[in-house]
Amino acid sequence: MSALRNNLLLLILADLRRYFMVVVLAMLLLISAFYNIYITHETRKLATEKDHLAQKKDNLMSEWQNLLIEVHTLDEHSRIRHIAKTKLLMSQPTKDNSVLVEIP
Amino acid sequence: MKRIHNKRRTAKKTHPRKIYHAFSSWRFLFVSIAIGVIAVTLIGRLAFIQVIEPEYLTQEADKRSLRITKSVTHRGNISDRHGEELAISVPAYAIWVDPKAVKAAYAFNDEQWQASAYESSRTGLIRYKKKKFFESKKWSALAEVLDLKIDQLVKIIARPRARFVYLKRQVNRPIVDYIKQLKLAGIANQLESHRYYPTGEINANIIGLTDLDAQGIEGIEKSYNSFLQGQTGTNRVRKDRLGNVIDYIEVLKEKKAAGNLQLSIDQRIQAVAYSELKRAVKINHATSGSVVVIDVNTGEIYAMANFPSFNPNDRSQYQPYKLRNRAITDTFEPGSTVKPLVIASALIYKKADINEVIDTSPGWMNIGGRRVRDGRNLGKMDLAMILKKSSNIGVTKLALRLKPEQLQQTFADFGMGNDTGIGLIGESVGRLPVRHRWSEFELATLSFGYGITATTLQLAKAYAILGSGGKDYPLSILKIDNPGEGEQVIPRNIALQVVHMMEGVAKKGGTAKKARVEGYRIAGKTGTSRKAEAGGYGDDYVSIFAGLAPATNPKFSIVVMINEPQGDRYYAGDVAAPVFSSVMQSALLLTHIPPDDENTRYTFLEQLKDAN
Repeated sequence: MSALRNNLLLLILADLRRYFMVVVLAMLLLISAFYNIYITHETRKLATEKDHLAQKKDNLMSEWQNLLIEVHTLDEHSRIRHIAKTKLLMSQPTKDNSVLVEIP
Repeated sequence: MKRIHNKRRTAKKTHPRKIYHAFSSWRFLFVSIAIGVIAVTLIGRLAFIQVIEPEYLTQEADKRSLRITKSVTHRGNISDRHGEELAISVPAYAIWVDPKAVKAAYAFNDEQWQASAYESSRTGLIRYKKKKFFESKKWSALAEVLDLKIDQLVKIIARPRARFVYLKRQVNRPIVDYIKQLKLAGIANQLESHRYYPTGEINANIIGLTDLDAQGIEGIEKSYNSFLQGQTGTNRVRKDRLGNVIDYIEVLKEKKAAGNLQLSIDQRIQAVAYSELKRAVKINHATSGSVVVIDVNTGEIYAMANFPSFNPNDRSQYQPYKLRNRAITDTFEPGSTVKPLVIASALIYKKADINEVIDTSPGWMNIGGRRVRDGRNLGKMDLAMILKKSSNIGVTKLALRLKPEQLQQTFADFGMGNDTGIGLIGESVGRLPVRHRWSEFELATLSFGYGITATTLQLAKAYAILGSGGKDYPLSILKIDNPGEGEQVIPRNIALQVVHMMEGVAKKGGTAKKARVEGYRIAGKTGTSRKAEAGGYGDDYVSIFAGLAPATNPKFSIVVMINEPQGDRYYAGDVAAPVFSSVMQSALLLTHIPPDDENTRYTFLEQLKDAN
């Protein structure tokens, strides 16, 4: 008895066994707490990523709009007409040099 | 030293060993109380922070981490019916200055510089807090890149109490990056948006423009301002040490995406219409002009061009008179172009027969003491011939058979004196006089287009009603997928008969041979009306050509109006008809309308195959 009583390790183990549920609950509490931290961290990472992506999207949008302007400045009809007529010496086909294709 | 040490050791050894008790109650008590006090203090402090007064620290934390971010919505784009953008918004920046911050960092004269002297505590040398403004090359670089003079810049900064002054707005990205690299005190930038119009002056009158704060102030930009605008959203977020967003707390203002507007304009036709109109106005030394192209079967406006116009991208050209969308704001007396409507009216009320022949000799007639005349004696003519030769006597005789209310009703059915349904700001409805007593002479003048006024758009709509077989579609500047059923305002057969009668105008002996379109049959009518001035009619004219094509199954109604052409050739057949011809040709070719003129021969694809 006294040997058992004096062995601290055994004592602790016996005590743990006695309050087994409490220990399990404590462990669960701990796990849940750490998991909470982990999830919060992950959420923050995702929020950061979302913000970065939104910013990237905004930048791409703005670039796209700028490219649109460039395209439409270059493909403006009177400009093309002018180039076609003066540089490429093109002209509107007359009825004699055109073929009528009927689209069904 | 060593000796003393030894002495001590020996002294220790000689000292009798003192025995301490293993347990001392006062010591235990002391330790217990000490630990207890510390624990209570700590817990108390914790409770104080967490429970009793948590606001202070929360507030301090929020001060360092809570931020409000903007999610910018740019104004929506405007595109034509094929999705080609006519107005685009891009991010731009406003460069502003805080003069106080500049004055704190820079000295403008020697005294200020001397006043900023202080003694450095480390080295004991005299140092100056302020840098010399005029010796810094950065400021002249800034002035240069912003297109300002250095004196102007100094004047702005010298303002005594200003804290926020725009230096330049609508600056693009590379310039902003350059300015950022200069790292000047008191200079900052602010995001805004810049409206850009790739098609420039071609569409300027209809699309209008926005002011610097992206609010529409003219044209479609104004009419559809709230739709195009959208709303910039703001969010409350938490940011970490590095400025990354780590948590979205709440949405303070919902972000609303801006709407994109698709117009019914076909930019290809619009470009042709504008360039042809511009040429005609310049050749004839006219003051202004308008062209309108309408799809008769849906009421969509394919083109609406005005001259003079301006480049909306260059605000220094901004002049109100150039900005006006003349096709909808300016009214004029439509002259002979209303004659087909009078004939339609006579047919509707059964006051004339389709094959009737009317004697217009001797080329003039007196009505109530006033004289109505034709250019020459045209003799006996049928209704088609009256239109072809544009005989005033012919239509007067028809109008006199009608009651004034009947003619008025027909004009009203064709949309005269009423809005066209386009829904743009500044639209004028023209004038259709409504009264009970009409003198015969007034009725006669009404029949050849004097005494009423209309806009170019209204006239185009009236012809569109003829072309669609009497159906009235509300006009639309926006692309519509399902036009719905138009309201039948004129009997179908009468509308088609009148269209057929109008075909003579471009034929041999007609008033507008120049309106001809190769491969297509066209129906139209010229109109040259004197402009009313104070005290009567003056020497200025309005030349109008209104027409439909293809005549067998009309697709487009086009009206060309040239205001005040100068020189010998002011007749519509010479001034407005050529514009009609080239615009109509482009419109028909671009929309793939098969040619309907039997007299022109086309090579068909099948024939080519057979030949090979």
